[in-house]
Amino acid sequence: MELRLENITKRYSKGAALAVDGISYTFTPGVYGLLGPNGAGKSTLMNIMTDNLPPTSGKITLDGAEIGKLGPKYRAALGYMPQQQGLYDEFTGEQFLWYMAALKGLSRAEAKTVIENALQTVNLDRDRHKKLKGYSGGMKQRILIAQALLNDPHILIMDEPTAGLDPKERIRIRSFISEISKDKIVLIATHVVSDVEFISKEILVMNGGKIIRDGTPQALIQDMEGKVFETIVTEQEHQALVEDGTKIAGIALAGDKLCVRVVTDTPPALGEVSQVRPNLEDVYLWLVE
Amino acid sequence: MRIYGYELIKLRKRSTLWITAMLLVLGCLVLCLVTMPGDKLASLQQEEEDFAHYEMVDGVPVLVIQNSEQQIQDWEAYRESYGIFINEMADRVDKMSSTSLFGNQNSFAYRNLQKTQLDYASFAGTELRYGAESGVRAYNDYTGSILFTLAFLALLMYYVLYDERGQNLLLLLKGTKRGHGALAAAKLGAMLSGATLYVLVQELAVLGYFAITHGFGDLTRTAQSVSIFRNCVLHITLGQALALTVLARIGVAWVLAALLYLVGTVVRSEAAAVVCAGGILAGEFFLSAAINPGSSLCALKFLNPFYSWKMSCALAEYQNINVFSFPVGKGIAMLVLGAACIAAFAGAGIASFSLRYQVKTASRFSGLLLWIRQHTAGLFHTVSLLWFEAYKLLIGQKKILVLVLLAAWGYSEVTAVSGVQSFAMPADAAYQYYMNQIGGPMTDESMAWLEAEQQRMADLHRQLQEAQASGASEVEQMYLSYTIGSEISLYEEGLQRVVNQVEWLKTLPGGLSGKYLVNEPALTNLWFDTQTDTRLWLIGSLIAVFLLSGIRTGDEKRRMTTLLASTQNGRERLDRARHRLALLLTLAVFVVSQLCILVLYSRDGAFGVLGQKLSWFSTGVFQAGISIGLLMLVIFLLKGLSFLAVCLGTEALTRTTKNATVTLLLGGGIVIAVYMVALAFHTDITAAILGLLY
Repeated sequence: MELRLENITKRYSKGAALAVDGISYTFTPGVYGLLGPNGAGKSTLMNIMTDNLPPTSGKITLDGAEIGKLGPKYRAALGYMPQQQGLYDEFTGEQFLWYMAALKGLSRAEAKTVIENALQTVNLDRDRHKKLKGYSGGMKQRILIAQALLNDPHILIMDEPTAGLDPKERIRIRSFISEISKDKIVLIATHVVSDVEFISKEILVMNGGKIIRDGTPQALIQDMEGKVFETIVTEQEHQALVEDGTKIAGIALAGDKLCVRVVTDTPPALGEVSQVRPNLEDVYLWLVE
Repeated sequence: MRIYGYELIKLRKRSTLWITAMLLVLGCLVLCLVTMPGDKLASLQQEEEDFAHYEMVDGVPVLVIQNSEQQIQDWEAYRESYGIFINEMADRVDKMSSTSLFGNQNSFAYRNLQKTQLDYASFAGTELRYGAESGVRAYNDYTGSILFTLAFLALLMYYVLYDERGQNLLLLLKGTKRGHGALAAAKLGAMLSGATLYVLVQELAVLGYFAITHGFGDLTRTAQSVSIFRNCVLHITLGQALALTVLARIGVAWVLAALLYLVGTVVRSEAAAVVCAGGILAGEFFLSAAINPGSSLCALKFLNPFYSWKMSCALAEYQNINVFSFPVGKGIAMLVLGAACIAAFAGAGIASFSLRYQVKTASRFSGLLLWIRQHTAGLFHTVSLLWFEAYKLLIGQKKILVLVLLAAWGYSEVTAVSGVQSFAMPADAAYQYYMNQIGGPMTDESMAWLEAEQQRMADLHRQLQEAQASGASEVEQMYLSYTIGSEISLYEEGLQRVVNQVEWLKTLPGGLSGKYLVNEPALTNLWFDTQTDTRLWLIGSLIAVFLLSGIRTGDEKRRMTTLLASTQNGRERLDRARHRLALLLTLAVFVVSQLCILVLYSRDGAFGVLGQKLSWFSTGVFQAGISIGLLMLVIFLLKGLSFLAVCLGTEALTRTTKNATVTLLLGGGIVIAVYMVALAFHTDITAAILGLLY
């Protein structure tokens, strides 16, 4: 299975800047992390990939067939989990899943089985009869994940899937996604770098409507070797680093001084400097800022 | 800005609240229209103020006389009795005081008598003037408006307290410096302000309606000029009485608003609050209706919002409450108790808001609902998109209430046309009587019945002549002339119309078979009654627009469209399901709106004469040879198409605007504009078709 993006651009109105600027990429089964700041074009790209938004130019093909032409057949293979949003308050969790099953074209018998499984997967089995308006943020997030899985999709597109989940649920969902990704294309857009760091086959970093960098997490981190440092500085020295425009990845108290993690080409000239192992957050900071 | 100002701003931005408020005022006026049809309209229809008319009682016409001369005589009698009532008050009090029952000067009974005399003493010589008073009486009798006020207050309570609580916003607000007492007081202020505004608008609308349809007459007359104010001990004019009533109703609304506020701060579940407040109010209503005015518990009846809502009860009925053996005027007691209730409810409500955890928690009631949902979950084990779309609209958006109102409206329309028929002339009533007997297919039996009736009429004439020719006494002759003559005058002309109609039909080619005795005037009146048809279309269409405006727009509001559209059936099939739902709802509205017309057709015997050609009408107004059945079919088809146009138009608007409010305003505006045009040209679908068939 191959989902190919060919030179996709999107301009919302004439004269406006390109929200997606000539993206070409080929997805094969596995988990992909999509990172980028707000306004980078992630949501626009996902809307195009879910066939909700036509691109201004370019095309998306699934195994060679254009998704616009595939229409319902493409959407039958698609599972989409949007960002947290308003749901149908008067539906119970179970009713909502039955509604989504109807929309996904499942038969009654199929729906019965997959809804049971989905509710157990997202740990909402006991809360299935509660109305959605009584669900917490995390529960709403889980019911959205559940609906995305109902049709056993080949392509799973998830926007901030772990936002609002407690650490235990976050790990549980992350592991589940990793498990099911063997024969699926899973695209996860997130701001939480750790969500995709360990399960992604590849990471795509977007900014200004373009994919500015892509590669395996290991490769991206490898590229950052020698560019991440920690330095113990005074308050004044820290201020000087900020004013210099140094990319600061974190600050912690170290006695009466500050331990500052910086991402830079050259070691900082201030404080007691030591080189440290980079992580994906450093990559993100380096590429995006 | 003060917190109160922000509470008002938040309320102002609740478009659903204000749209519902407008609909409630409209509903209140519709209830006026149904329960208090204007005298002026009636007199315009009859084209004279004093009229005698015939009503069908058990299928037989009975003469009913309505005469304003009688009303004037009644009023004169009232004026005289009022003078006697006031002037002889002192004598009556003296006589009663001398009895043992009232003689004890330290008793409530004695003091009550003295106070009563004192209260009425200043009314000696009060000038009473005759004038139109039907509007005042109608406004007094129309107490249904309290239900609409309660509905608005319940909605207001929801938006002031429950909506924010449901979103956990009260936790955020209560975490601020002024988030306890000041915020609670501001919310109470918002509720009282909303109640004042709504009652003011509603009452002015109702007063306006009665002013137009009934008339209030000279408002500078003393209130006692109208007999319902006979016992009033206030020196006020009729205009002031109306104004005081509006103020009193605002006061009642304040008490109710404060009560709901208290309930809203104490009870955290909406459903439980509705049950709790509903129970209290039902109890109050029961007390107002069931307690005897003379009972020792009468204070519970008089000091009651339902009792106080009625103008005559609030201002005119004279009662003193026994307070430690001292009589206190009912009006004063009402004011004091009302103020005390508001203060107590407000104080308790503010304290409750500040002290209680303002987060929605599971209650026993919600536990019960959960149990019900668990046991009815199977209903939703379906993959029918139509079912889910209907659920989203009717339950999710609570538009099932509109369907309930639709049913109530249909019932009221059917009831309104199912009552006693009224006729201005005896001939009309007699004609209806004969149609009830022999209307429909012409048969040998019906013709034989008609001949027998003609023979009966001839016998009556003969009896009358014989009575006049006989040597009976003058009194006997008068009696016979009266009884037989009135029988003849009641039936003869109507019978002659039927005979003429039969004669006309006999002149047409063919025998009796295939010919029908049609109630021509009734059917013609029904067909040319453009007002009823257009009114039904207007109300039905507005209901349809309101219902349909939510079908496609609810998902936009919840930002669900992209998720739905990313599914296999989330586009064309979903749209088809929504279209089918729109059609089903429109069909329901159409059927309900036309029920009363079907009842009228049935009453006028139209279903028994479907085969009759229009050109066979004895009036000769129609040239077309189509049958009544075909005409009715075409009429109903075109009416159905007009509702279909409303349905499709509303669907197009929802697709274009993606906003329920805009759709409602635009769609409603177009429907009203079409109605106004039809009204201006005195036409509708039926009249337009008949115009072609002339």
